[in-house]
Amino acid sequence: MQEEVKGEGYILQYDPETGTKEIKGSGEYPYLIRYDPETKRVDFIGDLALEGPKEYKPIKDLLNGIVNAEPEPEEVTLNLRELGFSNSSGIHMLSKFVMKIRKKKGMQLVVQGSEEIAWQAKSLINLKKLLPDRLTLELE
Amino acid sequence: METKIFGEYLKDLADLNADNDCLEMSFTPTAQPIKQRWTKNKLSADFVSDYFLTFIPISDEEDSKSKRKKKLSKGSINYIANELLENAMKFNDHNTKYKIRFGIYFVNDSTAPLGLKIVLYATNAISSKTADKFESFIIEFLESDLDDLFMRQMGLDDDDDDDDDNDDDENESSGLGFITMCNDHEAKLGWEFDTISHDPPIRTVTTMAQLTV
Repeated sequence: MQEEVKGEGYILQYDPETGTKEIKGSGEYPYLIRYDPETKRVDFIGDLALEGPKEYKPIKDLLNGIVNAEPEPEEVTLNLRELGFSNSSGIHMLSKFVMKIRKKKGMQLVVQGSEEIAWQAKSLINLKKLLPDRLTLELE
Repeated sequence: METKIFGEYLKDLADLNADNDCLEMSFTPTAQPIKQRWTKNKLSADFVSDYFLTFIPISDEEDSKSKRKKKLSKGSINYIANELLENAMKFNDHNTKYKIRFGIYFVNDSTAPLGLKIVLYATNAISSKTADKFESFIIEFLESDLDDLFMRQMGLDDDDDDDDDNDDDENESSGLGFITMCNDHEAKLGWEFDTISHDPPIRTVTTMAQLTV
């Protein structure tokens, strides 16, 4: 039985059996953030053009929940290949998440991106600068 | 009118206008709540970046390298246009009726890979308090190594930012917008602050981004 929380401009769904979490943005520019606890991978799909840190909070909370879980995951993957757009507030949220992982000793982060999407081809390298030894950037 | 200029700023946009195409839009900030206006930022950015493609000659024998260059340039224009509009909406002084203006100029430049210089700008009214803070940030921005500034903004030298509602997030995230435009998308940035009137006090700021594609 899925649990559902409706927030302003988004719906969060949680499946207690599998632990899968999803956030669906319902605005003009839809997005889907989906976490699979089996693979410890978060898929980002659509466009992130939300208005500042407050609107990014549900996604930030989902990401922080993954690294704060007990037992802690050894490795987390962010798959951004279907995220066609992110504004700087979205990049800020991702950068802060990398900083969060930086504080978790030994935790690895894999960031999967696309060389064909401008913001990813140009800006994802900066995430690597925040966590050079433990972040693997897979651009294709 | 009192004017202050920072960074790489083209003062005479009217001169550019004489020989080149441009798109200009204006928004009345008080006409709709900010929530409803917000999606117009991306919509406008999508429109001007689609429009950009009409200036690029179509070749039958286009290789994958130039296709990619076009796609990434379009993406950079889209990103920068959206950032300029977001900032103008976010920091606009809603106590004035001054319209937010946004524009993009397409200037021929035979030395550029795709033959164009793109000049984007956004103008908004700004309160004195916000203007003073913004000016201090711009001075720091122009004097900093941007990689270092990025690290500082992300709190690399700060072990105590574990709170969930960091008040600095809002400003940090705007600062990151300028860093990414400049460092990642290779835009040259400039600003003009104008005092339009003293009574009532109205100040404006124009942020300009120049991009060679």
